[in-house]
Amino acid sequence: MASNVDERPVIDEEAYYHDASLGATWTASRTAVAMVATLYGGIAFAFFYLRSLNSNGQWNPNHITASTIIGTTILVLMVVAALVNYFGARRLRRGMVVDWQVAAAFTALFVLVAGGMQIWELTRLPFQPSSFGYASVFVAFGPVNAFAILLSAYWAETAVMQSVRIKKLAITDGGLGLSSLPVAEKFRANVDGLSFFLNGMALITIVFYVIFYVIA
Amino acid sequence: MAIDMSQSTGVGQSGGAGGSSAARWFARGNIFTATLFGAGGWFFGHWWGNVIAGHYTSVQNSGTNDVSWLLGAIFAVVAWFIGLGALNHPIAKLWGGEAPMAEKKQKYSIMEYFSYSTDHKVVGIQYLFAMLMYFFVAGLLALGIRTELLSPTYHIWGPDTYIEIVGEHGTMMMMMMTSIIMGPFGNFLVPLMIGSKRMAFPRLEAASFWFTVPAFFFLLSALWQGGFQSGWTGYAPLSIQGGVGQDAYLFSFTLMALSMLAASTNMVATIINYRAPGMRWSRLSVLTWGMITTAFTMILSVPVLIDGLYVMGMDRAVQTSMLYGQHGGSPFLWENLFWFFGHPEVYLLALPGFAITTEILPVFARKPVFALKTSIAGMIGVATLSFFVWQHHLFNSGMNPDMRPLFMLSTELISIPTGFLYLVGMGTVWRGRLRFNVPMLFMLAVFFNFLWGGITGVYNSDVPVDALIHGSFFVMAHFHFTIMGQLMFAVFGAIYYYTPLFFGIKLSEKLGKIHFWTMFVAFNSTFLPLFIVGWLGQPRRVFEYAARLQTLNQWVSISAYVLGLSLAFFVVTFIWQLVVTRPKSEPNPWDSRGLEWQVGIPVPKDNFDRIPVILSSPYEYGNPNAGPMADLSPTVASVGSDA
Repeated sequence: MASNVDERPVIDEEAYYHDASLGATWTASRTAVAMVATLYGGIAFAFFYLRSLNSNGQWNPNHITASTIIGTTILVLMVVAALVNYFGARRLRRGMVVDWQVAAAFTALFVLVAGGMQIWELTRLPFQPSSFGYASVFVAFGPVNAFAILLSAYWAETAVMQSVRIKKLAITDGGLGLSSLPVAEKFRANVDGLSFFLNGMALITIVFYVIFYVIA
Repeated sequence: MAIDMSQSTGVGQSGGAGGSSAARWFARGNIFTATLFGAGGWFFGHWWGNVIAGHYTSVQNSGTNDVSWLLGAIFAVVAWFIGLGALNHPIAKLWGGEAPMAEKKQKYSIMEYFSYSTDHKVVGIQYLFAMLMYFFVAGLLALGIRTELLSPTYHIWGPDTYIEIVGEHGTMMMMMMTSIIMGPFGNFLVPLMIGSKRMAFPRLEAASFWFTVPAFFFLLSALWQGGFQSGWTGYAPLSIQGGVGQDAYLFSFTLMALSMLAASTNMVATIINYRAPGMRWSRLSVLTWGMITTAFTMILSVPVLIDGLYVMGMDRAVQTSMLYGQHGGSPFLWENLFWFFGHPEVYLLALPGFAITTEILPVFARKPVFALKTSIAGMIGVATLSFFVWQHHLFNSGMNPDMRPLFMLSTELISIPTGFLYLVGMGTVWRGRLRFNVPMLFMLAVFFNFLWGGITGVYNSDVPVDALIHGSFFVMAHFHFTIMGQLMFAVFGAIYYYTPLFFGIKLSEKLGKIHFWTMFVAFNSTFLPLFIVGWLGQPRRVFEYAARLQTLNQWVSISAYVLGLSLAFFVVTFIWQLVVTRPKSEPNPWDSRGLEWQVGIPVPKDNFDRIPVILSSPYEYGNPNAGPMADLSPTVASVGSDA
């Protein structure tokens, strides 16, 4: 710290705004999860509302669901992606950057495949969009889910690419996982935000698996 | 911070030759490239939609259907953002890079205001002009309504056109005006009020503004596409049976929803993380409290609106049947999703209005805010309770009757925190040394107008009364008093108050008082009789009415014209003073203690030379021992020192 030349407080502007930006990343990732959860919440409301009304007995008269195999695959991919990322992030905090990069690359891949599977599932539905209530809500859910999953894939991919690009900057300071350089701390804040978002998405995927494939 | 109307100072680079800087500006992306790209996107999406769903004809022989319309609109907006240069950053991130942000400048050319600026002060001014434009267009539509209602038998418009105008007016006001305080004043002032040099997410902030422009034009386009007969509430089954004008409604509303989410995420992150040292929560300005409360309410309610609009869009374009009872859906699904957002939305309009009123009142009362914490509790209370009242909109449309008392109670409860806000205002002016400048007149009018809107609101929430007056002009008068009478008066007061900070000029008191008194009298003369008209049974959204109500309707229409003239007077005098006479303002013309006023005029490009240290509350008026609010030049550690 520079020496205090008088009685007034001393502020390091660069450090101050760096800390603020770390906090903003934390806040934004939590806010993003709140928004996405509310978005999915509306769909859950539509599901339970129409299911309880069962207008004209047309909620799901023949108890048909979308492909359970594809649904289960999406569920597994999302949960595994969140777990891989979680353990990768733990290793990053211990300084093992390459481990994290591999884990995050697999995370991005798993999530990308999950998004692709969600789109593919929409092309293989055993019902038409207007066949009955469940069918309609599922057809509405599919694109939202695919979009949110692909957004997670984008975030994971950009984090991996960012780590590749800035890796050398922190190499003499303990690497991206341990360095106290602002660029490394920002990167770790981004990874933390990504982990939180992916965990939220995994939880949402579990809840909606139960909704669309178990309760139906 | 000032708009230089007289000369081109260039954009992006200072000191460059005019021609080359203009070329750089054009290459960087701006409203013109965005429009060009957007038009291309529209044609591509529309063509593609017709390729994949050409047999879904919504309007005979039009070559248009919901799929082609919606795809056209989606591609248009994506291309619009490409044209603005907004997607450079997210695309660069795919390769781990980061698109550079333009340097902030002390003085911007007029062109900068038509580009994707990441300077919060520029965004604030962009919002100000855009929101005023949206408001005045919607106001002109209101005059169209009143012209039709001059006579119960002689018609200017056909019934379809009339309902189109009503729907367009209502949607434009309710949809676009959600950002009329957070957009201009929140973006411009919050960093100044919390002692920050920047926003947390400037790109998100810019995006929030640039969503509003296509939202407005898409919504306006509904007028020549058959409109939307469902009105601003978009009830099914009308909404799933209407023509492509309904697509314009749902799409533009979705864009505004995205704008609100972007703005509120940025606002929350900024207020929580970018407060200057010493800026405790107890020292935060009321406007900042209003912004963060509003932002949280948006974050938790707007996604549900997106769900509702998405459900409507899917029913229309993909033939799902979520709003169609015969195939397992229900039109009530829309009502629930819509009002879960729609009622908090009323408070998204009202809360910032109260916040800015409470911000300005103590300056002119020369007293601290009375019971400041109560005011904050009131805002949080209103925001929280607003999520538990939505079903009062369904009292008459078939909800379970046993649920009515619960929602009647929750709705009545909300009058308690609202009362806090009202009484805080009254307590602040009580025994104050009042200065009746133009901003203060508008703020006092807020309380007069809101009294009518608030008291009638308590009656409206009672099921028996609601059953009687539902869908009548009484309800219409109620919400115009709570929204236009409260919010818009607060906005105009704030414009007069903050013009020195925004533009370096001080608007004429004399002209401002003419504007205020004509607007105040004409507003009350327009909307007070509508309580009677509604009480006597005139329904909303119907272009014919009983002959016995003609005199009252004519009175209202003529008053509405006077109100329109008053607003036109404001536009002319505002632009005249801004562009031609430019009456220079002193740095702190209202003698405010607020941090935003301590930085000087024009506001420096980084707001503060150094991060300020906050020492006391901004409302210590009348306290002779009160020190300054902040130390604006604290000692700064050398950049790059080991923190």
